[in-house]
Amino acid sequence: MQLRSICRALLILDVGYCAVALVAPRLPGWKMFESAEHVQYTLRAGDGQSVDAYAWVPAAARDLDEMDVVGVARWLCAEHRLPMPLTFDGPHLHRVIEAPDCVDHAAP
Amino acid sequence: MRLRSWERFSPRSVDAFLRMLGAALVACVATDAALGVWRVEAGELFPWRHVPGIPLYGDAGLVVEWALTGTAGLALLAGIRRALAVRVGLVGTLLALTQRYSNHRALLLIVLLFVAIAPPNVDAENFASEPRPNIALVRAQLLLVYASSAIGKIAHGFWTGAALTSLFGWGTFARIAAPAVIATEIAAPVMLLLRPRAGLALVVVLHTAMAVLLPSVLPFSLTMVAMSLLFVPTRPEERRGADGLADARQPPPDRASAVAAASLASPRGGSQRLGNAGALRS
Repeated sequence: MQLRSICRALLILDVGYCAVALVAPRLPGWKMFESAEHVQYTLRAGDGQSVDAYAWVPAAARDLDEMDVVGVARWLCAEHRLPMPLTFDGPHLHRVIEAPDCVDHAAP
Repeated sequence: MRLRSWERFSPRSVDAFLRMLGAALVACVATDAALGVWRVEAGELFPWRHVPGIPLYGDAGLVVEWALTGTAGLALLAGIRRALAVRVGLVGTLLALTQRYSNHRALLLIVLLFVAIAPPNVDAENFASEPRPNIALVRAQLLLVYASSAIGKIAHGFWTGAALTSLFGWGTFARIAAPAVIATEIAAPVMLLLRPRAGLALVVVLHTAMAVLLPSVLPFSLTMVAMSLLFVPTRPEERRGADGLADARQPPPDRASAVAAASLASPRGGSQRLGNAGALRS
């Protein structure tokens, strides 16, 4: 009887979470590629060389969004010391990442 | 499917479910190895979907995680120490989720958690007649995954085919395939409830296609197929066998009371009493 009560509570939690995840796009949910879009972006190092964010992520990362690419740029700044600053231009975001703190801020 | 049978399972289907769950755990390790997770822990690749606030545990941690997950998977596949294997697999999967979030691991974690609440012993007597609410939760989880996915796809315009074009570069075929995918995601759970074997076949086709097109989702596909195996109904002989054992141990109350009533009504022999009992029951 106790097991059934626990299971019932888990089911309610589960259904509740799924309902919330359906209306909150940033929450993980059972979306199974409901939308996938290749973001057109440019990421450049300080020497003007183009940087391919996909070359620096595991092969499972098929659909990086703009924030993901900015995250890759910050990580490249911190871990791989590419020529700074890194400049990101996407459809909605324009950011600059500078050493040594590797924090991104709005491009001028 | 009747409400009473919702919590009752065929030992064969639960056995197949646990083996397939083991295959999904092994596939997690294999796909991680193939997709360069090692290079993430070594600092060569960006830690994509790494949970903030929890440090990367490096090569040594990854070896421990893979050892836990792989061993649990192999044990479940082979049918050895399943209760322990489910719990070890749960720990391995939880560790992996802290390093790289993925839906297939989240689903595995949920399923392993549900099973770990009361791990089933498929060799137990009366297996098919005992209710198993925690395994019924796994069934419910499968329905939730398909329902959420279908609703999300309809709401986000998946049916236009744009997502499939973006993923695979398909043209016209994407516009045909996208509505078919949504239709299959709606039909699969309905079929599993109404025509379980046809539903299982549909799930296998859908998730085999997904795994062929996107090999990194193989663990997800295996987990979904494992869960759908739980919809395969109990066979009549499994039910009869279980009920028969129950009969041998304790007569049902109606039969016992009928015999008692017949003895009070007639001072004659046992056969007469049974006859009366039959008359009372009819």
